[in-house]
Amino acid sequence: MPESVVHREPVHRDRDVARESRRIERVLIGVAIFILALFFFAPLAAVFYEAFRKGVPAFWKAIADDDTLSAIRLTLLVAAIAVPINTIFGVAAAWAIARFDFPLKSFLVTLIDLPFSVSPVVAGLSYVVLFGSRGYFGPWFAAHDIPVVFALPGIALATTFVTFPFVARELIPLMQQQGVDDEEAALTLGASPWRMFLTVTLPNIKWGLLYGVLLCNARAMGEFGAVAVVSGRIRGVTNTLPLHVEVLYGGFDLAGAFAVASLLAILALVTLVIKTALEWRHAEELAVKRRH
Amino acid sequence: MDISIRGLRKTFGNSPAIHGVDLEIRSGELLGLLGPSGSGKTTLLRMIAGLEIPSAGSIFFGDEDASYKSVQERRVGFVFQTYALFRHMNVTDNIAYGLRVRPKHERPASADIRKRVADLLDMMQLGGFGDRFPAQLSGGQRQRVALARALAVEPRVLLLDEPFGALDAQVRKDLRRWLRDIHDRTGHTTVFVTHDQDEALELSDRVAVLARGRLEQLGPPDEIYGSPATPFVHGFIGEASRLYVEIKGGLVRLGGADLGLPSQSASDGAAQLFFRPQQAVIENHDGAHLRGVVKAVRNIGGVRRVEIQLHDGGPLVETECPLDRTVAAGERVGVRLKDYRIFSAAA
Repeated sequence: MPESVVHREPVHRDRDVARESRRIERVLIGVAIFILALFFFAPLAAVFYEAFRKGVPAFWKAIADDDTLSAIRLTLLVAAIAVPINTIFGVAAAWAIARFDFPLKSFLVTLIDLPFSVSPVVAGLSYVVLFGSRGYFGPWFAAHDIPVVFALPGIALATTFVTFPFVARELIPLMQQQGVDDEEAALTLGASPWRMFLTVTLPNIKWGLLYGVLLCNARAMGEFGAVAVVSGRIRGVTNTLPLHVEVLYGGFDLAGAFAVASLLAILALVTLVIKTALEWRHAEELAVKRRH
Repeated sequence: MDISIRGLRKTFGNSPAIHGVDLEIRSGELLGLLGPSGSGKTTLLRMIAGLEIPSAGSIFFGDEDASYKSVQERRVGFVFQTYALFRHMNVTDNIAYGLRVRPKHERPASADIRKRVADLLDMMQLGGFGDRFPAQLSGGQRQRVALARALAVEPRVLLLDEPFGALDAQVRKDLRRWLRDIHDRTGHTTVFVTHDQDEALELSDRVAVLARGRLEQLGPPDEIYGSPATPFVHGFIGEASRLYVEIKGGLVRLGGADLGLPSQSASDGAAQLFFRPQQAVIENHDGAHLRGVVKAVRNIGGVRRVEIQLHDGGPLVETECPLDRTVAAGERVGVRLKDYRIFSAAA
């Protein structure tokens, strides 16, 4: 039968192609793992190795240092201020953008991304210009005895600015994709807008919101550039954890620097684990962009 | 509850969606809003609900001007095309939602709410489904939950947006009959939107046909089908062939030739002539009004449809032909119109 002769060759070629693509697949995966190991796992392992090189007691001693404890307290406090503010602003901005049409809407969307595109140092400097002792509003705040720059308010402000986009970015595509039907249904059933928000909107976005808050928190605790400019790096007073690491490292206290750095690394790992768990359990309800 | 819509307009940006619609909805009737996509039917339904604000005109619920009342104040039952069930609540909580969000002094006791939900589950043949979540239900079941949730608040009017749009054909048919049955039992004034004429004609007491934001015709299904008021309705409802003709001195002319048909009191000038396939027969004798070549023959269960091209590049018309008459593509045939309808272009 001549037909089978005609058919045989393409079948063979298909197999060759399949074998070839499997080989390419293995090579690519191998390269990816090698790069990950070199650039991610090795540094992470090095941080923990250095942190514990002189033993657990030395590690604890470095952590229990007054300045370190103060940095931990300050970092937690700044996150406790910035994260709730950005959660509220993020939900409000996402709601406004996903639900309403208004002039300059695309401008607002661009504005939300500004903190991602501008260098954190520039953000920090702009706060110094605004609120510093020779800044535009600085004298007024100084006259009323409200410290901004080189104090908690400035650090919280800079951190809030830098971490602003996380929650909003997460929620905008999610709310756009979910549409308004559920909310309108609640309204036709007699719910007040506030009640609708609590009983329908919030439950619909809760996983996406949690995801955004998680990323926002990780960045709030880890922010360096903007905070470095506004904090003044006063040891034990205005040093956050990342700044403290740098101060210790600059003072050749390597064991201390790595011990504190390992705290930040743990924060990153915990964030990663929760993030992965959220993505795995609630992929459906997280934003569209990660579904594919 | 009678609903009276007067001079209603709606403009989105610069594009008008509804241009001045007047419509009286009678208490207790089941009214179908039928139209192609973009006809404004969903916008009209949403304005009745209060989900869109009219640009002009008014909507009365009985004697009460509801035009600028909020959605909550209107107390309508709205069933969304997507059902919009709250996915994090089970069926019972979905149905009870409208009762539980009421202010304290209007809220029924929780025992009464439970009773009402149980009654509705029963009515919707959803007994035993109260603890399920929307994701665990079939499309037809979700649709019934959505309807139960809308009915739970004892709405003054029930509004349904493409209620069967997302369901497969068999479920659609069952639910249609069942919706009619629910309507007859509860007696709610009901308005539903559809683009499916069979659905509108089968289900409605009266049908309102919309096109390009205007009400084309309002009437019982038989009237809509039997005596279409406008060329649009004739072309949209049921099947029809359309010929662009000219009326001159009481005669109907097609391409300059007299068809030998009375002009049905249409005035002189351009006009459109419509006829349905069953209003035309193939006839090769002198009684034929139109002549042409058979392009295709289709069997549609019991009868055949014959597609005839009147002349090269000319209009196609469709007739019915009994199975016992042989007819083949390429054959030259005559067509006699037993009935037809003429609309003057001016009208």
